[in-house]
Amino acid sequence: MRNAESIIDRILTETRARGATFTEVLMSLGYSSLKRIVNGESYQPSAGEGISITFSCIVDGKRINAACDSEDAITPEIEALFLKAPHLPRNPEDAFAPTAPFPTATLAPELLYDVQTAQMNDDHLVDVINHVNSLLEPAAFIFDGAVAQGVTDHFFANSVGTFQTCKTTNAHLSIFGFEPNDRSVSAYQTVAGKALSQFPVETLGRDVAKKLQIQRDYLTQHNGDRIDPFGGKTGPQRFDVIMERAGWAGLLAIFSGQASAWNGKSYHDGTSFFSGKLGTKVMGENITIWDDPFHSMGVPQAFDYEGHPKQKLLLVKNGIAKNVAYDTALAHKYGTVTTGHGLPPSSRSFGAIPLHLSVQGGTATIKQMITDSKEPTLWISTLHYIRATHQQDGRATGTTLHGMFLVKNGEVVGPTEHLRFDESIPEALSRVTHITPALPTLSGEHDDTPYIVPTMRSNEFRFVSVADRTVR
Amino acid sequence: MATDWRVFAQDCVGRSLHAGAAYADVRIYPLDRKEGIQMENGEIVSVSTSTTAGFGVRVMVDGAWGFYSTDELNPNRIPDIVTQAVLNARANARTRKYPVVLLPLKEDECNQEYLYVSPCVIDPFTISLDDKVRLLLAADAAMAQASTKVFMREADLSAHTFRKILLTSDNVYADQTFTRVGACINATAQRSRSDPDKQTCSYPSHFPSVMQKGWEAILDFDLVRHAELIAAEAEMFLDAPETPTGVRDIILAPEQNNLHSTHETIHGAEGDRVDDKEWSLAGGSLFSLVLDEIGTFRFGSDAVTIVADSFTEGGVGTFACDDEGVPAKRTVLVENGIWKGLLVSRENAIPLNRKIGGNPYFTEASGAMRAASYGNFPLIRMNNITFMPGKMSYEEMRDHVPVGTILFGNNKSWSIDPYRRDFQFGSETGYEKVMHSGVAVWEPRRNPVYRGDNLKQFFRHCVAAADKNSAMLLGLGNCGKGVPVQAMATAHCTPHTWFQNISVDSARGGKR
Repeated sequence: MRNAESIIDRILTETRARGATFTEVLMSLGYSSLKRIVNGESYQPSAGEGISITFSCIVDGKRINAACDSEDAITPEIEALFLKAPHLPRNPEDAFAPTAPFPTATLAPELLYDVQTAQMNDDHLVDVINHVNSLLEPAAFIFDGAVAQGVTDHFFANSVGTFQTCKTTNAHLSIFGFEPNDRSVSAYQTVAGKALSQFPVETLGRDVAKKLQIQRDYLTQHNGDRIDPFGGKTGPQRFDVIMERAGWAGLLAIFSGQASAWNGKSYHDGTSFFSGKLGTKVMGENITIWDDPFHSMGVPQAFDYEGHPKQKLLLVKNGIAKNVAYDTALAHKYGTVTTGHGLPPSSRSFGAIPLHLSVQGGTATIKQMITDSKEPTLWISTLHYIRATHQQDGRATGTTLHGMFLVKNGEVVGPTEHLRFDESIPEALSRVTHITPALPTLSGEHDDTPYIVPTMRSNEFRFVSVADRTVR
Repeated sequence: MATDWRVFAQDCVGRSLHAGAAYADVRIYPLDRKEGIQMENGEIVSVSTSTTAGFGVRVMVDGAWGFYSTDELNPNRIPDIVTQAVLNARANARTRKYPVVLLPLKEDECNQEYLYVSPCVIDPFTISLDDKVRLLLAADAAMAQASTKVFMREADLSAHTFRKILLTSDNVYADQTFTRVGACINATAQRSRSDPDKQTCSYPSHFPSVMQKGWEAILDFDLVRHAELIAAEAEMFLDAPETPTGVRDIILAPEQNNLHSTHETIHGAEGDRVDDKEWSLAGGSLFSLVLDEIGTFRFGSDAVTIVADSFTEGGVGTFACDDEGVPAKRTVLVENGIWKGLLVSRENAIPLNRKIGGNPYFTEASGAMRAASYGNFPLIRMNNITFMPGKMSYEEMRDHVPVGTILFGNNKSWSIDPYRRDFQFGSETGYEKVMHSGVAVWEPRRNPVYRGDNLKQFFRHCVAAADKNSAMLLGLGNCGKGVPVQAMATAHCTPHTWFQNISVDSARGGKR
């Protein structure tokens, strides 16, 4: 059994002895198991255990980082680090380091860790797979997706006396349902959090099955033809949309990540959508967005990657841009305080980004949104391959996926062809008419921390083309 | 005493077979070492190094895969790791309706040994940090000197070396060592700090371009000369008109064409996607829609020939043997516009043949299975993908294309549907061919994007690929696939290529 505290102590002692004026060590030890699922069967399973050690030193006024996943590699990495440091030019910004310990992160252990999830073995994951299969297979639908579970011990220490530790669990479940002979008939739900046992597997599975059945019934009655929302016309068109959680999570992930919207560095560089807009109205009055690392439905985080306690940060309040994210170095540079958004040392030059976005939920239901949609409205399950097309405009493109339905005169008419959109995310969030309660969902952008977002109905979302499914 | 990795590997595979595995393999990474340096506005903002090591055991038990990995490269851990992999497989077997079946290796592929060291003239880890920093500073200075409007200058260098050892229960043993380097420079210009439409130009790509070579590849990039060019170009685009909206002929410059024609599209030639195994993350394939027409389907014009191989000099997809023990191969994917092939694995070839109608179209695996590390399950990955050059020089192409043609430069944004057919790509730079006083000139157009359909339109509208002098081999270091996501290096080589009647637009078009 590896002793994390002795490893950390060794790195702090060795680097101090060699002349480092500041050292920080980030370490995690964990185990995880993940099962991909294809046709209801476990596919490409991966499982394993590992250690991750990252440390960063300031030597002669210069910061240099190292990482390894073995105790044997620590000394060679330290030696290499001290060999490189003299060759670096001085960088006044990098010389900044905290001079006093950060407060101890005091998050309740039960917010971070679920005993049942930690103790689950592969058989439990297989039970989840078989449960979902039992919901889809009777109707001859098939289940693809993933189910995963992991447990991690996190440690952080620096040479000015900060020491943080916590134990976390995490889990996620993605359910993609398909018609066996036509993968364009599909539906999707996802959930993530710290406790696999609390996932509403039955509800999610039934929702997927229901959407698949709507598509099957309609296509059976209409010779397999879907509705073309563009009506055969080309060129951009706008539609009101009922967009489910996963779609909004994807848009927010790209807005926050690729477009660096709430990154304090980008804000001051002038490349963020929010540059020059703090304190101004940027979205609808019904939109409030937090970065909430303590949300009980998410995967909470006690301290950031530079050891500072995490904190809840108000990003947008009733449509008014309120704050952007900082780590300690950025805060020092721009005369403010850290918001607890430090990234790992090797990524820190990117700036500071919120990782736990949470959009304030409302009380509407999808059923109510459908009822209130008299004009043609598109009910969207999720979005695919979203990418920023213009960072400062907060604009992105992508396609709809896994079930889109035309709603008209308060009723679901039937499944549509999929569309490509190209829209400004803040503008879409300026035209929201209905908001459901917020729930955890993955964004589909290669992340494993859920966002807490509602399904929202927005007016006049911009689409640019219809996906052609024919091959002739 | 140095560990005998062959003995280590034999212990893993032997114990797996003894525990009931019908097939087993082990991948050992004795050392995986990386270094990255990033500069921003003349300051080094990040110097990072990392080392990893470990091993992963993959077994097939009761018709199901099992896998387990650890970062502890200790022979004492082998019994436990093998046990965990077998238990993992037994649990997975509870979900299997049909057993996993592997296509046998060809007779001459069994009992093989491969020893491979990628060519490297100058070991990048022997270049002093002084020299690396000096190069970045020179590039930074060149950008600063070329334009006062450039407010963000970025430069990035990376080096990576790793050794991986594979042993399979087919008695294939491979000991391969790879060295790669990467670099990029970016210049972002603005008219003023409040400018809402800043312009970025990059070289060779916006993200580091990776080559399976030594430091000599960094020297070949000639970053300093290009730094001056991209800074001047970024400033020039501040005053350029928006790209017009409409249907135009387009030329894709190699970097954009690499991404579109040989990366994003050719994801659709991965057999697991065609076999509908990747819908829960990466998606499906346009080729699954016409699978029974493989060998005859008209995918593109006669000008379109696309080949996958693991031999291209300097390509990050070059190796001796893949991660399931199949040797490096060359696979023709599209030949003169006709769809001919896919990248298939030993597991994947069998169900694909069944879907084609039982004909054994795929009689061997393509040698394209790779995992990102010892802790990952191998997946079908692109290796080196080449859009074969044509005969026309790039200069002739510029003369031949009609007035109104838009030339798309380095990629800026990319999105494609799960079938890999409906796409929208945006470039950092666009140039429109216009006539001034009877003379053709290329004028800058900002924020260019183009859209279309890869299956029925785009490649069939390909007029010509320029000759090999215009082709550019570049590696993409972070192609994501799988769950958990594996970042893989894939290489792409295309010349400037001309397409007719494509929908073009501005990324700021349609603003309310």
